[in-house]
Amino acid sequence: MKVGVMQGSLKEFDLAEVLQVVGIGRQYTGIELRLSNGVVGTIFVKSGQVVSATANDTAGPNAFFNLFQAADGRFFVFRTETPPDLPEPLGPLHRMLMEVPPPGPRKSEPVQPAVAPLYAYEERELPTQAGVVSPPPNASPSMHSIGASALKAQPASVRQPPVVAAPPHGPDTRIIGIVSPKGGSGKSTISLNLSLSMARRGHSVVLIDTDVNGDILSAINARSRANIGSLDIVYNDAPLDQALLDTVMPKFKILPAVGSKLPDPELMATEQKDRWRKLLHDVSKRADIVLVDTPAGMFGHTRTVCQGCTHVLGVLQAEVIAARSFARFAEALQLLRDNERPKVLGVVLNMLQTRHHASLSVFQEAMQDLPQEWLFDTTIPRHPAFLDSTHQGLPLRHLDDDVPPPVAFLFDNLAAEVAQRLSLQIPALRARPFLL
Amino acid sequence: MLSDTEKTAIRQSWRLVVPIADTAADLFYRRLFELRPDYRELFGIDMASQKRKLLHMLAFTVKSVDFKDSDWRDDVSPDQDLMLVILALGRRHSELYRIPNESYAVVAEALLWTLKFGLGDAFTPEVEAAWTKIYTLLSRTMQMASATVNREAPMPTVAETQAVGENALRQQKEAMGVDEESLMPQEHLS
Ligand code: HEM
Ligand SMILES: Nc1ncnc2c1ncn2[C@@H]1O[C@H](COP(=O)(O)OP(=O)(O)OP(=O)(O)O)[C@@H](O)[C@H]1O
Ligand SMILES: [Mg+2]
Repeated sequence: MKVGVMQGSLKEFDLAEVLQVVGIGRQYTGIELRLSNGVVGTIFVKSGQVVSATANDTAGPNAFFNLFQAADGRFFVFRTETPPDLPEPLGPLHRMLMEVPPPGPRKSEPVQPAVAPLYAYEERELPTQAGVVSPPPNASPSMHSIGASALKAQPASVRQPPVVAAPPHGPDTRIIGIVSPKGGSGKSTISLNLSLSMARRGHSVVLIDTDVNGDILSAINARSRANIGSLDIVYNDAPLDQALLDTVMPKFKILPAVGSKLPDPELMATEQKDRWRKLLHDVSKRADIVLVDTPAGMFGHTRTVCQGCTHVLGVLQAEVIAARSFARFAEALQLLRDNERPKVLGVVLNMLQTRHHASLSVFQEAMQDLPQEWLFDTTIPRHPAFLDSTHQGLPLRHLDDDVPPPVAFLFDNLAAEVAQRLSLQIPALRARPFLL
Repeated sequence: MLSDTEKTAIRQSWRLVVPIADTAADLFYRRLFELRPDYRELFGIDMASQKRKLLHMLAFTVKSVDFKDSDWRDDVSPDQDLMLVILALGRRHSELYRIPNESYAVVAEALLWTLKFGLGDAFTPEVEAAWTKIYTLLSRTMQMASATVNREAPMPTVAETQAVGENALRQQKEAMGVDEESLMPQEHLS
């Protein structure tokens, strides 16, 4: 007797992923496949061993590999009684998966038309899934939107945005990801105030927000102004040109994280590395320097965004827990591929409390432990003006146009350091006599 | 799905976690809520029982992946089958606890941080890679469940799997001669 366990489209989970999941089980489990190229087959797995594989009328290892040749199709996973005389397995799953040839048209296969329609795959029900009942189309209304959308989403309705080529950045491109392993360390605050100071120096700046949660527009109390955000461009292919918001500073524009509603959470869980890189690249064509505010942590979404940046600026909160986790900053960068690893522009210490020993010791340790050229000379103290700034929804400098709080000027210093490290051309100064 | 070297890395590092398991669970949640204070409200008030449940599930996972390749013909019951247990767990996470998909990355970060903090030098790159792999497998399974699982198929219940996990942790502690009293004091790590 077959007991259906799960089913779905290979567009949503590819065969290798399905097999890895099945591979953690110990029971005799079958994966039935109907591929878009017409091949029908079954793979049996038990305790991480591939027991057998058939594809149309072939069997054995070749059949196993043949089942990887189409990217589209449906899978159906079922359990059934272990046969009394199990054959010798074809091999351990993890090893066989490593030998799967890379995708692409093969000689024996008809070559796909050059512009394959993206969603041409049609849904076909598997006739054999006696045990499988699809979730009710309108699952209970109490269900949380994310769980519900994940359940009701028929695989083909998760429309991936068009694939784009990830362009290489030119030597003059400056895209700086603002990152920190710990949340709440001041990334958004520093992104906003540093952008402003860069713009005041005469550089054109776009600040891109990529964090749905601690978003910049909320910080400046302008959430309702956003129609299109960076996530809409990446996941829903929205146009960039209508998305940039002007500020009172002519050279400073903001690209918010999201417009009025969130993109499909299912879709947001997909990586879209190339689309992120393309967006960053496109924005960099419109400004001297691009700053990118990222979500807390070094993995997930932040990691994807970093792969499209030319530089990263780490924010280290002068506090013990933050310091302990800061090692992740360097480690996570190390884990990136050489050609996708941004340079470290520097690390800025935030919320320093000189009267507190623990806070100071973070500073001292950072001086000792971080590579010498990382730490900026400018450190930002913990200061109540930041609270007012968030409260009033304004950058520090704009809290009081006539007498900005002195900490606002620290960002001018930081901007000067950043410009120097990036070798940004500063408008030439003419030599002038001192006495008039 | 793990290679023998990965299984060894998991088994040996988990042996170091078992004696400090409760502290590690404390650290894990502290780190998680530090990363994302807003996740606190997803959890109930009783964090002590939540910590226990997480440990049981990890103990169960470690035990489940740790079998000799030559024993592949042996059968296990559905409530001890890692795939079925994790699929059911994934379904509960999306349908009952309503966690967002992107939280898996945050939990990964908190878990790896905890292991690194708790294991110190024993958290070698190999150990890190093995835990990253096992976590990726678990979270992928959980996410796949929320999308495609057969809701009518019999799946292990919370009580069943927690009992199995509790057992796994007890056996591991006994095998190592760890009794509850000798647990490291919390201050040691904080
Ligand atoms: C591999 C990853 C994970 C494992 C092994 C795991 C394990 C568990 C276990 C064993 C329980 C106890 C209840 C049950 O068995 O149904 C539980 C509950 C829960 N988990 Fe997870 N979990 C994982 C990922 C996550 C993630 C990413 C989140 C998101 C924040 C999360 C949030 C929760 C919540 C909110 C509960 C319910 C608490 C309550 O009942 O008040 N878990 N988890
Ligand atoms: N130097 C400082 N002194 C005092 N308060 C500060 C300072 N820097 C930031 N803050 C405050 O700390 C809080 C968190 O800052 P912010 O939102 O910039 O952090 P974040 O790293 O972007 O957080 P998240 O990880 O949630 O995105 C805000 O209320 C901000 O006003
Ligand atoms: Mg932020």
